[in-house]
Amino acid sequence: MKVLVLGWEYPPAVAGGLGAACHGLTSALSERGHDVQLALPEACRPYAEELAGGGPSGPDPVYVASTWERSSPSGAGRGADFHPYATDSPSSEHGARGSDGSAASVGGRGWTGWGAAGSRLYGADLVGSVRAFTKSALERLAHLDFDVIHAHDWMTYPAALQLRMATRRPAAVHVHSTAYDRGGSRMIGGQLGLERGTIASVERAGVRTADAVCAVSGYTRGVLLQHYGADPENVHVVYNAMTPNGSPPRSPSASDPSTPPTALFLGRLTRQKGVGFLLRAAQHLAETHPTARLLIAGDGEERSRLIESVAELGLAGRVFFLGSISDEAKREAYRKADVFVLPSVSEPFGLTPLEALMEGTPVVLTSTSGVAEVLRSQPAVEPWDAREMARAIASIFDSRGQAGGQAAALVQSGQEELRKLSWERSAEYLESALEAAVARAKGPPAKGLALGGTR
Amino acid sequence: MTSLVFYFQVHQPFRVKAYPHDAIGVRHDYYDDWLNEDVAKRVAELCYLPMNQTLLDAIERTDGAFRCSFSISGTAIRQFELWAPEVLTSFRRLADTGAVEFLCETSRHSLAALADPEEFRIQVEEQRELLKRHFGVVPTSFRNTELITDERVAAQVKALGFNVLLAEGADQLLHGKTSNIVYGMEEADGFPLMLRDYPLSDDIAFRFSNQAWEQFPLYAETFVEWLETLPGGKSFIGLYMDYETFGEHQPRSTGIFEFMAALPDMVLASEKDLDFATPAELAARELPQESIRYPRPISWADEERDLSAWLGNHMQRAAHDAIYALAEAARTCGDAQLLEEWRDMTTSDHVYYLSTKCASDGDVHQYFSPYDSPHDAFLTIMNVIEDLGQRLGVR
Repeated sequence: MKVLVLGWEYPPAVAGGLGAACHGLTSALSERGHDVQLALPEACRPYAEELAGGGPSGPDPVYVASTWERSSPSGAGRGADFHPYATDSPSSEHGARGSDGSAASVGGRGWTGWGAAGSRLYGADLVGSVRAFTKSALERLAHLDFDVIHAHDWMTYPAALQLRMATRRPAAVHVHSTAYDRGGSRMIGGQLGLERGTIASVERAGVRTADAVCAVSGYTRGVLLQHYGADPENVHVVYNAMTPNGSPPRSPSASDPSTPPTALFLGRLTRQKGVGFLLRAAQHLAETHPTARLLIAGDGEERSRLIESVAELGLAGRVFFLGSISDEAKREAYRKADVFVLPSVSEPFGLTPLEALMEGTPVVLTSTSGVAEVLRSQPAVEPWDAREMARAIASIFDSRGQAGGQAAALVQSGQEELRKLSWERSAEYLESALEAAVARAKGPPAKGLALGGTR
Repeated sequence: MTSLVFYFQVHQPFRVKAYPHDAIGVRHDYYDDWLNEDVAKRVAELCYLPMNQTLLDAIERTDGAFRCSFSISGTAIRQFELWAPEVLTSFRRLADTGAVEFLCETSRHSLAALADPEEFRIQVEEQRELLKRHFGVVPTSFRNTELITDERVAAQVKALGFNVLLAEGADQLLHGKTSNIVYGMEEADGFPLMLRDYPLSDDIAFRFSNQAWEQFPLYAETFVEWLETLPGGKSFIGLYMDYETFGEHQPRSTGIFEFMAALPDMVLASEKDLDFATPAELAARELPQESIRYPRPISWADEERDLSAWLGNHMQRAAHDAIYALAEAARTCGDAQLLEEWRDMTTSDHVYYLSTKCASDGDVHQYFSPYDSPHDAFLTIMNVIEDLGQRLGVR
């Protein structure tokens, strides 16, 4: 197949998990023999040029303008003549939550991401950038030769749908995250995206118009069916994997039982990540494990509130904030921790537990995360059940350093599950989703293919 | 006779430098020598040296009729020793005139009086030592950190042998009564209190350069006129303020030095019965006229005049508790250096920076703070405390 991939993040221009996933899938598709053309926003280019040849494997990208040129002085970047799929103002998505008034928190990324490219890819003028990308993509890409469009996350959906209309070629949208997960969007009758001019409405349009929809987990598939009115036959699950860093998985570190037991969270400090629930769990944990420490790495709009909660809940001296940390410090933090916790309230997938397991650290997950579907051996709790979360963490603490104990067993079984995940394998499922899109565009939908991606 | 009692507070904290979590257990250099030296030298240049000279001139010119008092925190004295010894020399010259009284306080400008009586006693002894060594004086008047005063503070101060306590003349204390007589604290067997006249003090310390103030610009003549028209029966006017007011909070360009240079002669030339006195002289002259009750601690900070500037939010109380939780271990660890490092963390500024008050008081907190935000300050302080705790073997 000739596939036109529309991406927004791509290594080295990475803000969150989207860049890694887009790269993993795109290069695996290419390795499977497909003719892949990748289009990225202009904002990614400086990062790639800085690397000068040492960039990631995979196809060379075409850069598409993502800076809105205000041709008319009367504010062409805004207004009612706006593209129907985009939002009129990014702040309408999150209300007046951002105190700086910028749109940087749109999509829960922006400056809140720990990747370096966050502020550039999700800057204050994100909506303008998406508009510019859409317009420019149509001009630059419509003439290319491709069989199917594969678009990653809502920023590229308007471009995908316009190219689909203009070229009469099928489009598949890939849902890595939704406004439902990020929260703060208005539901109308339990449905998202019915309110015009919101990011949710862009997502809804993409999900309901595309010839195929890829969801990063069964969990996300459920969200799309339940809250976006997606066609169940049209939504395929394509799990994320992990880009191997070259080193084999580490065996669990023989942690010294005399040192304080340590739990780690790493991620954006947003409500979606549920760190507030983890603090409640830490409060329970303090009763049974008074020397236990909780480390919180990452940054985000919830930071100040969480720090205040730590003081208020009597957790000062037990909970420490590491801020945004480098990749090297990240690996170090995973290794030093006795358990990694992902307390997300709604997590489409969740890459960090995979990384933690790679470094030999067991994880505690929430049932409202996609990653729990692929790491079935690891304990998963309801995010709001702080007592249960504390119990799961405590039980791992208590077995640390024991050969054949629970902690060691969890790492072993988790790493076995990791081995089953690869971008190559995910690309197979993606391939059938793209084939389904092509088939569906050609004629009546072929029954049976649609659910092919669900394992 | 109505005496003007000037008391100037000189204080510099040992500010903490960026101390991230990965520093814990690795390095123990908590204090930002570079910043502290920079501030000490800058304020010496802008305020301490020129203002000391202004006051020395006034004392000499008036043949010692102009008198005033200072409280110089132990942390400030140590910073002058390290980075601005000429400031100590110039204070010594003031001490030698005999017209200047040095008050006692805690050596670390701490909240120990509230948190840890044993630590309070130690820090007061330390400060006495410092004052003796540097200025050859034995203090008899006391002011607690930021004028924080209540029954407990007065009892401790009395037990340590002081004769008088300087405190804030807060509205919630006076209920419309004058601040200009010596009071006795009812809860502390009538221990003498000399209260601050905050309206007149703040005219100089805060409003002096405020162009929106209807009295702007304030001239010494005007100020003396106000003093002359005050109703009778006033023993003293407590003009208590941060010494950094002169040249630092109120830059030289506002004319603050000229104001203070002109004031002594004008006061002394007045036909009314006005003079200058130090707290010790006034306390020796006047007995408490009335008793006063302290239902809760009163300070001179912020609008509230309570403890909320230091212990107003959860972060502040958590950090404060965590600091003093290490007190016993620090005092018994047998490592003098480690004890010093812990003790400098008791300086009240460290929790003052954690204030999340908004509006104008919040601005004052941020003005002094070396941190980006109270939350950053909290994380830094808790990291330092964690490291101190590890070194002290406390978990």
